[in-house]
Amino acid sequence: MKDLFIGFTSFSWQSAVMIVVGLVLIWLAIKKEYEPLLLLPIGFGTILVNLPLSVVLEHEGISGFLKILFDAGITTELFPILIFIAVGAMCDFTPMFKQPVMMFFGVAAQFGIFATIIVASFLGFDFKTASSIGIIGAADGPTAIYVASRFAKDYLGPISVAAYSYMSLVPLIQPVVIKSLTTKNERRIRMAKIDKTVPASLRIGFPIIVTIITGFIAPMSVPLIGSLMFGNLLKESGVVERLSKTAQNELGSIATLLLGITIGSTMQAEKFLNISTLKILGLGLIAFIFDTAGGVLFAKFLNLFIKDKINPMIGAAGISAFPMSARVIQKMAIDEDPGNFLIMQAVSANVSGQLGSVIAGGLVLALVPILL
Amino acid sequence: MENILQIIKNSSALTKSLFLTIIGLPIIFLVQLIFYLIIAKWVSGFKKDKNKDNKK
Repeated sequence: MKDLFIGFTSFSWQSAVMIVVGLVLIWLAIKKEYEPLLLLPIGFGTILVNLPLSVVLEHEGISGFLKILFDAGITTELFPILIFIAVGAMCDFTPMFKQPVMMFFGVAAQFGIFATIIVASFLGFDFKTASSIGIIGAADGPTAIYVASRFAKDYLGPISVAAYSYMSLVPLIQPVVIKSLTTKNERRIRMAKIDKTVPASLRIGFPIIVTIITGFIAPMSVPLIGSLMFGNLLKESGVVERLSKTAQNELGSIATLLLGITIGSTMQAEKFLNISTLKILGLGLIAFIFDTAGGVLFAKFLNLFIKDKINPMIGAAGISAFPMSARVIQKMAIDEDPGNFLIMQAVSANVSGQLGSVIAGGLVLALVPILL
Repeated sequence: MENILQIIKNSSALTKSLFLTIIGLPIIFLVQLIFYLIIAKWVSGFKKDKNKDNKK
């Protein structure tokens, strides 16, 4: 008789809370359209894994489908790698080639990663976990997932949720930080348009050069940067359009779907409902604030030395959340001065941020094991 | 360098994080600087070639 009602008798209030968390994620994805591609599968995966007995993970010694997916795609790091190939095939570095000086904002805006690693360590996380939490500041979901799957598998769920949630909250977070660090006059600075012609050879050569150089500087980052650049080469070569389209569409969609639901499977009540999750969510916000502040303050610092001033808001676009951050900056620029068009510069900094975040992630992967 | 690394390895997570920040940001900056120089050189070389072709 007991077996007949095992579904009810084995259910805990913690699992009920997690099912509510899953429903909230699905609601955010559908109603608010906050990163629906990831949050919807994560939300549903959260529900699946918290149903009585968690059969999707394991039952009577037999692995369930989510456990199989986890072992095949997360433990091996395969799913994030496939996502990187897809992202690379979607990346267009042309705006960065037109204004390469914007690349330095792609560095400054990575400040949040390191600041958050320090704060996370201060809060008691071990070095590997702190590094994984800091990578939320890359504002780059796949990089955060990749680093977390390498260094902090137990925290993969909260780190992924924080990374994608805050990315979708960029339009709310960045304006507040930018306004608190800049004057109205600074936000109204106009910048000259630069429209250089970019040689096709550069677009093709760049992913190869980046892979080789980073391969020598930080060999541990090769899976991350190499797969991103491979995807980009597929696109830029112009001779494998079918592969490029497949990487952008079918591969990207399948990998996102499997990655999302598998991350959801890590969100079991006993792993998720603890104080560490709250800390990670708080630290994620800190990471995005420091990223934005780092970029803005770097631009203000440069303005001390240069004649043609840079609108400091451009610095905030150096994060990887593309194209959301560039759009936020352009909207803010128009709000301050309707004739001020910063979109080209903002996109350029934003694309640089995409590259900068992957390099930062690769570097953390390379340096952390050396320091352990 | 080996001695410094050994000291850092034996220290707390906070010290490791500070060290990571001190060396990490400049390395990222250096890597981006290398890419910047490559791009700038490549684009200016392309411009020169184009100007030559136009003169011909």
